[in-house]
Amino acid sequence: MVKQNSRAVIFQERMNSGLEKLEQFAGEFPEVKEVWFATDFSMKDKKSLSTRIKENGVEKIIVAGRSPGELKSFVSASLADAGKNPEDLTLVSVNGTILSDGDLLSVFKAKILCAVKDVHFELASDSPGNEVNKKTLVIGAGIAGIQASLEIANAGIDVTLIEKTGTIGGHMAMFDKTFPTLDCAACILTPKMVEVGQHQNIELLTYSEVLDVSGEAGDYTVKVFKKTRRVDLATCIGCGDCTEKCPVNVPSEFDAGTTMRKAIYIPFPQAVPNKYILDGDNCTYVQKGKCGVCAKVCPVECIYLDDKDETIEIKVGNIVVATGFKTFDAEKVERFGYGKYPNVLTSLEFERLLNAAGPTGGSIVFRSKDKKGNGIFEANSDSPERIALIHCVGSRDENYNTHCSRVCCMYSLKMAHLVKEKLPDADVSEYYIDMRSFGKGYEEFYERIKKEGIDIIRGRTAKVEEKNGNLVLRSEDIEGMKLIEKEVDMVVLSVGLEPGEDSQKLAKSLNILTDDIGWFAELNSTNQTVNTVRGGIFVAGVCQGPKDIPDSVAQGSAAAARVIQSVINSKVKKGLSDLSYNDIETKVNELISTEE
Amino acid sequence: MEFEPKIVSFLCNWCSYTGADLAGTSRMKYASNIRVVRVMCSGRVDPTFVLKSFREGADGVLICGCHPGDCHYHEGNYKCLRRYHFLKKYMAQMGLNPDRLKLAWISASEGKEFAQLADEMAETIKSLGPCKVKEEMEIFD
Repeated sequence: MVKQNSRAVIFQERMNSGLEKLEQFAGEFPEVKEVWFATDFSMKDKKSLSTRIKENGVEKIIVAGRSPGELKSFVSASLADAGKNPEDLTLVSVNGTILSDGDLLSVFKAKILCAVKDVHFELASDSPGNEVNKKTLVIGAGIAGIQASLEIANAGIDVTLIEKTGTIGGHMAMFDKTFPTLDCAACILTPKMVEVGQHQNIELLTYSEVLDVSGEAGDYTVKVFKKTRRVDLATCIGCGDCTEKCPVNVPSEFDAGTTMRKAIYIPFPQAVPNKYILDGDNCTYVQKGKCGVCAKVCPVECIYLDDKDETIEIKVGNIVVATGFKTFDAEKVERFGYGKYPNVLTSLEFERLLNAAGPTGGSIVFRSKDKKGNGIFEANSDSPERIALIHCVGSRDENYNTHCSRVCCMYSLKMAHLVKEKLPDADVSEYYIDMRSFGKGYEEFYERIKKEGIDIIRGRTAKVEEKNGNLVLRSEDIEGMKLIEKEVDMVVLSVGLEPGEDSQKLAKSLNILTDDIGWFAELNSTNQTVNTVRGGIFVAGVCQGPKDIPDSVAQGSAAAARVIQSVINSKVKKGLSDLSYNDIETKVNELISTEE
Repeated sequence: MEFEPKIVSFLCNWCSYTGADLAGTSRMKYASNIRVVRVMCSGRVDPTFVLKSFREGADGVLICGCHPGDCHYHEGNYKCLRRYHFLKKYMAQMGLNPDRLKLAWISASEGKEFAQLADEMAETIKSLGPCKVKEEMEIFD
């Protein structure tokens, strides 16, 4: 039995965002004498805390906060200084933003309860687990979702894979080469996509979105909004007569707007499923009731123009969330003139331009305008001779995003290499803040690129403007201690990664947490990297935080391992937010009484 | 009637077959003389495959693999390259024009390159005329 009035709880700082109640809660235990705040102590002076410990006769200290480990050495030293056992302290991690009332508050309360009563939280919160429905849902069919689906399906478990767009593949399908090996991205991805399309254990729902999730770990009911393709997948033969006749032209999402597509289209030639989609938002028939020429020319009559969207319900045991990211909107950084000058490109547009299956078949050319004034690329245009790549656009910048997007340095180096390969005489320059070549083989790749005659300059770019028909780039050169003003033909902005548009909505319906930026929060960044606060819901890929392709694949496999684990055990562990405070309290009392 | 050569082409599963597939799904037109045999890797192409193709009446043989460094089995395409040079020499010794055999690197995004390659190959073989190996070997049968 713990002695009364023998403990102190130190909060790292004043609690906010719905967690204020914790402060009062902690003080109400008979065992707790004092509630302090770390901000009241001077971290450099252990005396400030040790005198308080002595005065109040505190035997043990509980540290609670976002990262309580930061206080560990200070508190421990103070305890020793006060003549107490320096190991008598417990750390309680209280982090995460509350999405709906009470879901995590009770968990944090339970953690403090356990700390105060000297019971391990893991012991008190260990539940027998729920029965698990073997069927698994994977949300998002980018490389992480594809990897997770294949791993799970290859273990003999049924998978439903949901994808928002008309084809699986995600962002990786748009890339030309992967770094640092310079493998062709399509060579790795397309065989996997075909495998998903043909796998007997995978049910593919493209052009669909998750609306709502209810139920508990092991038995979730998911409402799926199936947008109509208006083309019957089973009968469409992919002949392409409809596309030829369609009068509507809109920028192609797959080509990042560098080419135009029709309202009835296949996202890209290697799409899975390789069948047409009628894009209702841009179709004149759907919007205004006129046209309908595609249905007239279709030789197999597989186009149903008046088809309606539907909502279906599926029951699953586990859910893997792999919804990916969106790239930073470069127009927000006005000083670089994206959207104003035609030859200032985002990296995604440049990626398509470099791609052998891209708008120009892989030749780097100036952007020109089509009849309607849309910026497009034509294979027979002139090639630029001076290309500048600007790093960290929309990343590591307090005005936009403070986080590092992790991939931009490497893909910029890769692009510089590919430019040199295609245009050996081109003058290629890169402007970076810090070169983050952190992965396996990345630093070696950087060293290799440095030897290829590319001007790699350290310094932030101030401005890109047009003077006498030329783009002029102004930057600093920190290592050369000077300012640069340079004429260039083309500027590529290495845009960063941001959470997807619907990620907040999805987090709400799944009832999982997001961090301050909007990435889905993992339970624990060191040993529960794919778990969330809800049992049976796992995260993989960039939706959890920026990462490159190898890491996304690894995380996809990791999430799959958790799913397979629960199916083999026929049990899925409850998540933190599924636990109730009262259950834990009963368990704690039980544990204490058995101890005595 | 114009001579329409038969060209047996061995395409690796990962890069070249997908590249040829891209040419098809992108609706590119290329010479219909190409007969595709899918192999898991260009390193799988045994020299006897090539010789057997000629023996059975092929007029040309095309081998396509991943670009150097891209091989999914690390070095299959290098092994293929070694055999290719050996085969070329051997073919010359056997009285077969080495130009009837061609090795090329095609990645999965190079549908257009594959279409061009197929057209060029068909042109080359057309200019060389029919390969008579099959008829001449019939004496031994």
